[in-house]
Amino acid sequence: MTWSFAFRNLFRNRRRTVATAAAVIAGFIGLLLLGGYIHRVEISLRTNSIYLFNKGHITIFKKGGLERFGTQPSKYQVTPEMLTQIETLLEGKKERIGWIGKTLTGAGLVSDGDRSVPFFATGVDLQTLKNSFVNQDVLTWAIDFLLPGTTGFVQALEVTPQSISITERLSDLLRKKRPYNNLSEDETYVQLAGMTQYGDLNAVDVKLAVNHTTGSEMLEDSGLLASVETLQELYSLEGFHYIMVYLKDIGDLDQILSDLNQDFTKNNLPLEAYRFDLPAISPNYAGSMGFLYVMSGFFVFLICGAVALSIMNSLTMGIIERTREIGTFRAIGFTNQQIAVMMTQESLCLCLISAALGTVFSFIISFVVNAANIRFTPPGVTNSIKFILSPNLYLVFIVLLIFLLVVGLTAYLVTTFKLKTKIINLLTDAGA
Amino acid sequence: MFLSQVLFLFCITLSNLTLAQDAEKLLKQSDRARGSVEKGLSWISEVETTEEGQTTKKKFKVRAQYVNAYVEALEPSRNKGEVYLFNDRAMWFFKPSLRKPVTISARQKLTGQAANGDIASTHYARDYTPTLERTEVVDGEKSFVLLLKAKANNLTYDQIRYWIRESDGLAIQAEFLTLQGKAFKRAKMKYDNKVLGLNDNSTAFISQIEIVDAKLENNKSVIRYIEPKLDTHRETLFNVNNLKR
Repeated sequence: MTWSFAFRNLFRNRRRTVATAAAVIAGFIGLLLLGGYIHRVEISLRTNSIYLFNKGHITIFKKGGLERFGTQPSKYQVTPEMLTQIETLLEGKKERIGWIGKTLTGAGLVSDGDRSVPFFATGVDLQTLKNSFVNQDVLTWAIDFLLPGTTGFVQALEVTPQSISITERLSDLLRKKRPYNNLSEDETYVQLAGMTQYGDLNAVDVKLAVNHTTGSEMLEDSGLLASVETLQELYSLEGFHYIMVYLKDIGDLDQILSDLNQDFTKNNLPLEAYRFDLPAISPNYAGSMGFLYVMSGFFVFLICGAVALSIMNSLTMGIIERTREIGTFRAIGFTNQQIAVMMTQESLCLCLISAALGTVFSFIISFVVNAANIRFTPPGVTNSIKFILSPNLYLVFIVLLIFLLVVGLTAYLVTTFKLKTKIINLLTDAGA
Repeated sequence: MFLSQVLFLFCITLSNLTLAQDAEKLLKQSDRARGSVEKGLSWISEVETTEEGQTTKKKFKVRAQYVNAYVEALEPSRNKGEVYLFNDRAMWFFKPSLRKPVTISARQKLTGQAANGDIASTHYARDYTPTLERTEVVDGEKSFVLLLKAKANNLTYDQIRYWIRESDGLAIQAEFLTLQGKAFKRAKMKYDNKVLGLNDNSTAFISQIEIVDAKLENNKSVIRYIEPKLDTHRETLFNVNNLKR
C-alpha cells in the first residue's frame, strides 16, 4: 500500500523528480563506468601477472626463497625432488588444476662479442609458454601485452632449445636489428654470462628468436625470456626459483592454497605457497590495483556525497511543500515512523528507476567507447592499451546496493529529522 | 713584504708539485712489484674464496705483459679451459663451448671473481691520480698513505686509499672506497716472491693479496702468486679475435 503511495507521489512534482533522478542517474553511470574500467584493468593485470609474468595462480617457493633466492640461489632453489613431492600432493586435486609450471630467474650480461648489456632473465618451461600464449583470458584481456610474433617463441624453442626472446629496448641496446630472421646465422647468436652457484663466471650461447614486452617500464631495458633449461645451464643449477600452479577456476584459489600450505607443514616440506596477487610476487599488479582502489574509493565518496546531497535537498523541499499533507497523515493516525518509511520508499522508487535508466545509458556509453578504439598508456606501462569499459551485471548489482543504501539512509534520516515538528505546526504551516 | 708573500706562495706551489710527483713516482714503483712491467711475466695464481662459511679454491695460469693478461683456469676441473683476457682496461671471458667471447666492462666487474681480478690488476699509476694524504706507521714501518682518484669514469672503483712502505716502495695495503668514501673492500699484500731481472733495483714480487669484504669480514679472498718468472709471450696470445671458436 505505502509502496504504491510512494510511487504515485513521484509524479506530483515532476520537475523536481526529474532533477533528482538526473543526479542519481549521473552518479550511477559514473560509478558503473568507473567500476567497469577498474574491472577491465584488474582482469588485464591479473591475466598478465598469472600467464605472461609466469606467476601462476599459486606460486611455490622454498622457505625463504621469496626473499633470498637472488643472493643464494643454490640454497633456496626448489629442487626436482621437491617438485615431485608437490606434484604428488596436488595429485588429489588434479581435476581442479590446469597445469604445474617451473620458472628460474637470474641476472647477468648479454654480449654480442663487442658490447655487453645487463639482463634480467625469466626461464620458463615450454608447457607453460604453450598454454599461456593460447589461454583464452590472455587473448581476451591481455592481448595488448603480447607483441606480434611473441607467440612464435614456442615454435622457436621447439626447433632450437637455446632460443631467447628479448625486449625491443634490450635489442636496441645490443644494436641488433629486428626481425632476427633477416640476420645471418652468426649474428643471431649472442652470449649470456652470469654467476653460477659456485661463484664462477659462466656463459652460454643463445639464439635471438623473437621480441616480447615485459609490460613494465622498469623491466623493459633488461627483459629476457628463455627456457628454464638454458638458465639452469647458465647458473649451473638443477632446480627452480619457484613452481607455479595454474588453476582451472580462480574461485578455487584460497581453498587449494590453504590445503597446500597445510600439506607442506604436515609432510615437513620446506616449502611455502603464495597467492599471485601479493606485492612481493606481483608488484605490478598489487601496485596498480592499490592505486586504482584508493582512487575509486575517493570517487565513490564524491559521487555518493553528491547523490546524498541531491536527495536531501529534494526531500527537504518536498517536506516543506507537503507539510499540510504530512500534518493530515499525522492527524488521521499515521505515526512519524510510517510517514518516514513512506517517504523513504518514494526515494527508493526513484533510485530504482534511475538505476535502471543509468544501467542502460552505461551500457550504451561503454559500447560507443569500446567501439571507438581509444588507446592510452597507463603510468609505468611500456605500451599503449585499449581503453575498454566493461560494466557487467555483478557491478550493476553492487552499485545499486550502494545507491539504495545511500539514498534510503539519507531519505530516512532527513524525514525523521523534519517530522519532529509538532502536528499543529505542520497543519498551520503555509508551506512556504 | 710583497716579495716575501710571493716567495711563500711559490714555495707552497713548488712543494705541492714535488709531493704530487713523489706520489706518482711511489705509485709507479709499487705497481712494478705487482707486475706492471713491459717485460713478459707468467705465474700460477691460486684463489681461495670464503663466503658465508663456504670456501672454494681455484687455480689459474697467468701470462701477462704490461697492460695485457691471458688468464687460463686450471682448477677446479669444471672451469678448465676457461679464459679471461685483459686488453688494457677491457676484459673478455671465453670458454671453448662459446661461439664468441663475452665482453665485460669495468663497471660490470663489481662482483665475484671478476672484481677480485680487477683488484689484483696492476696499473694503478695508469688509471688513478695519486695524492699523498699522510704518513702512517704500519707493522712498525713508516708508510705513505695515498688517495688514488680514478682518471676515467669507467673504472670499477672511484677512489682507493693505498699504503706504500717507505723502506722498499712496496704497496702493503689498500682500501677500495665507495662513491661516498666508505671502505667497500680491504686488501693486504705480501712480497715473498723474487723475480730476477724484474726491476733495476729490486727483485721483490707480490706473493699474496688478501681481500676482505669491509662489511662482512668473514667473506674474503686470498690470491697467492706462485712461481712468478719472466717469460716471452706471442703478441697473438692477447688478441681477442683468436678466442673465437
